[in-house]
Amino acid sequence: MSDCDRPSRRVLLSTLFGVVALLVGCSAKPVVPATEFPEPVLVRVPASMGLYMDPRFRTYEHVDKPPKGFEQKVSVGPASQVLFTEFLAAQFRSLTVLSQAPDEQAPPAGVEAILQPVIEDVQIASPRGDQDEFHEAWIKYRLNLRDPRGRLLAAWEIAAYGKHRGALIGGNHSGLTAAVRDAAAGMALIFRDGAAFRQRLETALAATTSSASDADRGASATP
Amino acid sequence: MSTMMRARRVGPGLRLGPGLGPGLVLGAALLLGGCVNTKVEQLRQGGHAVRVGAGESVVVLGRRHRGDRESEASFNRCVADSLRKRRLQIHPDQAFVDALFPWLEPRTAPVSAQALNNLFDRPDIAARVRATGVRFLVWVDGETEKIDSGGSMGCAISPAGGGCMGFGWWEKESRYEVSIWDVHNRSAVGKITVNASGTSYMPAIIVPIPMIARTESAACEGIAAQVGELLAPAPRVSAPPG
Repeated sequence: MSDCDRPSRRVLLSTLFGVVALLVGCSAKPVVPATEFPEPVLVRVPASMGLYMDPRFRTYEHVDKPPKGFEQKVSVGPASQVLFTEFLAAQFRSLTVLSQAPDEQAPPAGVEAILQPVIEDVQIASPRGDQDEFHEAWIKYRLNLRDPRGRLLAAWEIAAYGKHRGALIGGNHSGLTAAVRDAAAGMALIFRDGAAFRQRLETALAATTSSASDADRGASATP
Repeated sequence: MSTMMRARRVGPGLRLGPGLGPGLVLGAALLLGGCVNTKVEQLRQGGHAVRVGAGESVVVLGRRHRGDRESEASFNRCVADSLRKRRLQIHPDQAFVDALFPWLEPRTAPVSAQALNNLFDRPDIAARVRATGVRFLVWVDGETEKIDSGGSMGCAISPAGGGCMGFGWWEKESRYEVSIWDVHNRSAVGKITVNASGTSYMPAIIVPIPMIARTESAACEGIAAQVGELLAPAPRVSAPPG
């Protein structure tokens, strides 16, 4: 091989490597946690709730960029959608899943308040060496409680965390699945005292109703 | 009434006879291991073994924390397998955690006797536990860690061959505390603590010869032996002749 052949071969190899990397990057399936969860053991809260999960929540995808190794997509939305739907259906007397945002539709009949989960952040920490045998996942959820018209009544932050021995991030036994399950544990603690939650809900609803009535009176008195 | 028992056991040492061939040396080194010192203490609540009834089972759970300390799943499996060999009916741990979902997740799992009693006082939880057939809960808390290491070893490979030279060692300690609970009677059956430590050696003269001190395995066997003393399996019923 002559010297003048070498640069062209290098260019060819680099291009080939780049194309392969691009194809792998484009076609790589996202990492997914488990989407099947056990039936929770819960004492039902005496309230009829609505649940609204916006498209961003349902399809939430995190792009993990580890310091070493390949970038990978982590799909958190579908598993979160299943968990929140199943958990809240078991937690409340009734649950109506809403397809439209509360402020974009008429107040749904028979719904006292609406829960709206939001994913605010996802972080993954992969094991870096022999001493670091676990991989960890954090999912920061925010659970908004709204009145049927969509006005915010309260909100809870759930910092869900999971860890698992080994490097595999997805699958039934992984830190990511543990983190999604931890969100259920967080909600179980929030709604543990059903009577207290019911009282707090009634107080918050009464406060928003009276403030809305005051605003309506003010508007009608305005010439 | 409580009774304290103490057991001490020293693991196998390394003894290599003269005149053994290199293959035999390697095989023997793999079979033997570094020395392990194991100290097991048992605190028994009732002074006598509790009989596990027919249809009743035992579940081995790693105490679940949100911090760094969490017993290894492999260790819990080892304890469960050893208890199974002692004719105790073992319920799968993940199935039990799932049955009580989400109350045995790291965020919600009870960390004290009172919290455990409060959980099992709930009628819905009690019903789920009854459905699993689990009567005894074996909570395992602890970990195995490398506490010291030293030596050096180098390996090289060439067209003519390869090999390693040097000597490495590391010391491991397995510390576990096990609580056994009777979930029907809401009472503690006993507590076991085990501390196993040992040093592993890896001399290398062309071929590395590992002499591993299996502290985790020694701790597991120590715990299973003591749990086996505390919980007596139901006697096997043999069919009448004829």
